[in-house]
Amino acid sequence: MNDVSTKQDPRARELALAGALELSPSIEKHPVEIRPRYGHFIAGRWVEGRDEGVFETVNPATAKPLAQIAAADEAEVDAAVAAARKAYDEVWSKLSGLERGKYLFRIARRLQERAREFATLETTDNGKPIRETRDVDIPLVAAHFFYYAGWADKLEHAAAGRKVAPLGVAGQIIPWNFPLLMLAWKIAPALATGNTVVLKPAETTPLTAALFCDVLQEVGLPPGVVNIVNGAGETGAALVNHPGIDKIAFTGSTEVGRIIMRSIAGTKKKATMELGGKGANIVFADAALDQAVEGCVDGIFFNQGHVCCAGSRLLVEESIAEDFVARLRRRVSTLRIGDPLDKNTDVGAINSKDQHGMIDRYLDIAAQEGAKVWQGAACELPSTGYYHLPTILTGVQQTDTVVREEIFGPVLSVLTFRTPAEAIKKANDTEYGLACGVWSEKTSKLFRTAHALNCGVVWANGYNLFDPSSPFGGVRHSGFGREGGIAGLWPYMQEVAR
Amino acid sequence: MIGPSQTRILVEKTIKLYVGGKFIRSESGRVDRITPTRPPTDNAGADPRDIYVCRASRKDFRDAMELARKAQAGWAGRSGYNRGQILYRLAEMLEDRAEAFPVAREQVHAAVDRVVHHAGWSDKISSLLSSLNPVATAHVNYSMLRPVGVVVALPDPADGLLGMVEALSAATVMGNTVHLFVPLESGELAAALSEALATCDMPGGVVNVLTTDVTGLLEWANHHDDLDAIYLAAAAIDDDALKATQLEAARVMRRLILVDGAAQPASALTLQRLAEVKTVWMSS
Amino acid sequence: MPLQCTESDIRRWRAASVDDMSVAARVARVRKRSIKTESKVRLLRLALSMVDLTTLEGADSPERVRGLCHKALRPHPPMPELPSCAAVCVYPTMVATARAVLGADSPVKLAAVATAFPSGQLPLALKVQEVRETVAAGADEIDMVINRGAFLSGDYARVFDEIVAIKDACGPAHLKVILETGELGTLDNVAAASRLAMAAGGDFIKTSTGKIQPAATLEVALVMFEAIREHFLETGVRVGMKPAGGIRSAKLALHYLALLAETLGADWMTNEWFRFGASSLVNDLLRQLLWRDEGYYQSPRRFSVD
Repeated sequence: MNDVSTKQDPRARELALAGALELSPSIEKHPVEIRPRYGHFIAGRWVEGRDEGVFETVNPATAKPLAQIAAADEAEVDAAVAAARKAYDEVWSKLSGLERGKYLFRIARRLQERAREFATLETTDNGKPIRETRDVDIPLVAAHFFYYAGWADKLEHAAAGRKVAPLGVAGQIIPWNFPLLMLAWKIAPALATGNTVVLKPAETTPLTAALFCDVLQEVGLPPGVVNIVNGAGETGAALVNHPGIDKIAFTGSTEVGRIIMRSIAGTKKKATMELGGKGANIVFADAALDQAVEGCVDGIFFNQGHVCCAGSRLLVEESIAEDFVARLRRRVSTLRIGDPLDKNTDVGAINSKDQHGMIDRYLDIAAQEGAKVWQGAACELPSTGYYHLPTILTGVQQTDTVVREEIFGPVLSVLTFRTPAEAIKKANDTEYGLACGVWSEKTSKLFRTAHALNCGVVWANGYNLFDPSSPFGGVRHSGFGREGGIAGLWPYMQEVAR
Repeated sequence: MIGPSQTRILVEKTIKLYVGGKFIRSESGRVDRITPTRPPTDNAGADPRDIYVCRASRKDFRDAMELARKAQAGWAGRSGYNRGQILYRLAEMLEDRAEAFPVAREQVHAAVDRVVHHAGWSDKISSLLSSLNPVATAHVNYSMLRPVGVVVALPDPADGLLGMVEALSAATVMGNTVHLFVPLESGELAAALSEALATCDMPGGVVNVLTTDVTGLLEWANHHDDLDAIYLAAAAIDDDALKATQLEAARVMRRLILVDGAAQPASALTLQRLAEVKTVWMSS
Repeated sequence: MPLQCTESDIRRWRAASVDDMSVAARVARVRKRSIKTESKVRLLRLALSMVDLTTLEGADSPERVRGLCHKALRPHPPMPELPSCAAVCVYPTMVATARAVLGADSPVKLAAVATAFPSGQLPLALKVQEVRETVAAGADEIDMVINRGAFLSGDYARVFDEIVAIKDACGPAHLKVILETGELGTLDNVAAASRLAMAAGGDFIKTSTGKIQPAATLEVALVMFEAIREHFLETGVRVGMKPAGGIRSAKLALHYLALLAETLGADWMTNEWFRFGASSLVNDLLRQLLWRDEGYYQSPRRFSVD
């Protein structure tokens, strides 16, 4: 008979996870050049922009300004649209698909070659960890251009054999959560299908889009095919309302998406809307639990939770809920929050002071509505910069504000279900419909659940996975149109008579 | 007995709404006397006369929405093979009832042929437009078409019967349920079409035919947030109504599928717009 | 009455379920840990102190084993402040020779593989006898192999009973249970075998004999760490872990430690609860330590060959 008593730890059965792996700083030091001021990239060259309305982009890790950014007014937007129209009429629409594709291939190559520079700059401007920009964002950016490059001369195949034409000039507005990746998602399919582009980056993250213009100049993309205008909402409105725009592609909040759709009502402008979400991550009792924990962590703490498809609602089978939440907390206790340029940082800085305040306001509401708030990490938060602890809310219900509204931060709400039918019902109980996850080791249950979820993307035993060949986009209030894959071409072309 | 000298009194049919598989009167009790816009045809009786048409109200639409929503999952859950057979049965019933339509025989034939055309998509379009996406990881990643849900369809009245069957077959072949809004003036067409729909094995609620003031009822459709999509022929409404529809659609990101008309059948990519692309990543 | 397992235990172990792709993703993430400067030195030294310096060849001779013992005691004599290895690991016939070099109260433990290593294909009575004689000859630790044939044929009870019998034969010696994960085929099996081995009384669970490919991998290690964590949380009993075979680079060793720290925490970050079964790893750890210390990449000739 074995005597186990001697091996029993006198302390409670707890794991000493936080701080178990002390690591010295390992800072990415790739040199990046940040100019003191950026204007707009119109017709292949930089224009200074007006002094009026100049704003700063800030490093969220230090709260210090990085550069001055000019805000484009209607006249500057008009110049950009005119440049795009001219390039469309005179150059881009006359180029064969193969030649267009070759430009995109070149762009992809240069992005690969300058990947570390882009990753470092993105992390500096956005606050997301270098681990993500280096391993996820920038590789996906290059892959996206590579993918759509190959479509440029095969568009009829993507249109079930019909003859197609581009739409014309696309106005594109992108958010701050994946600045360069969203740029790639917008520009690559637009150019592959023969459209020209005026793109407005988010006002808090304009720097990688500016560096991208360097790449455009390096590869000799004809002037005007891609134009970048900087600015905030007013610039965006000028772009949306410009009569020379044929197509609006927007990624951002549902609220702004509504404003844009209202603005273009009564016009012939076409639109793609990639909006908010309130993704559910459904964990069945027969899931591989430790891997499901990993999926929940990837689902909500990836990119500080600034992900439209974030798995912000955990739906866990009631019979394992307590155990599962304990596992989740243990895992969160090993996450390293801190300097985004540190290669070991798991969760970086919230992109802006405003967003940080918004997350805290939601936590106040959660507490008022009766939620239990748990926060954890492997380390202390840095004293400066906009950092936020990973947060798990228990004791929440379907009716609670934090369960219904998108928080866009590292906050996970935990809800339970009893049967697969209830899981599906609760997952679908939202106006949004972007993405969901489902975890089970029973294949039939995975398929049945995945197919019953009312959303655009389902990850079965995974979360927050992206690939250029995989269409992404939502249903209902999460928007319409797809980005990625064959379906990502459709919103940028029209069928024409042979 | 009716004597030889007497003229026989016609038994006139009031044209009802077709909702949830039943012929119903409007809850509002409104029945309009309408002089039909009817081109001279061989089918038309010698004696064009006014018709009595029930006018669908806001509440009729609201009730029809409930039934269409209820019917949608079941309809989408049927196999493509089954949905195709039911649409083909609709074509059979239309052909058989060609006499019932107050239009030229060729127009009925064109409508029948259109239904046959779309019926054939039911078990094919998914093979054409779905994809197995070669992602860089070992996941099995596939995209498929899911129905958009409940659709309101306003065909171009000038397209007549062809416009109606184009809209309803495009919507239903993609797994949606549909409310067809028909102007009161086309009441006879609506009635004949509804009778074919009622006898073709199509489950109740999949297609609802609402004779009404289409622009007026569209306003109520715009105010129903459970409505997923509106299929609109460019000529069905004026620019103001279109803009109003777009403004309301923005509120709930309702899909608008604008089509030119029914001269050509909807292409695969147009049909795709009556669906949502859904992508699944399956770990392997 | 020896420890027994019930049908419900067996069902529970069999139900262990692991998603391979997610495990691979987690491991990929740990491989990206950038371990630099002071933390690197600290972990390199820790890793050195965790090595079971191993020789398990048919050609092993007393002189070879003596050499190994010297290396384990003083891995690099010019740096006497370096820790010694955790143990030497030899065949039973070499135990007496090793004990003679290490002495009675050695900081370096003496481990021996037993139970018809590496196949385990001998009658239980002979395996028990082998273990008794090896412990009597001076082994502190016994590295046994499980009966993979019985495991894969579904006879979990037999695997369990054999471990119990061997544990009993070990007396005061610590028992490491080698699962030979390269023969188990799936991570689900690794998880089940881990639970079984711990329930049967193993003090350590160990991945591999080193004679079968694949030997230790980070994926297998993660699954075993998670099984150890489950066992600890359920019973309060701490079990150690020893990946063995194929761990040759310092970088890989540090990634094992990162995975260990993030899965089992600080209490396992000691050679009492974690070992590397390795031989050439020691020299790579030394190279890295000296590069940190002197600022020069080291020629392999700087260190003794073993």
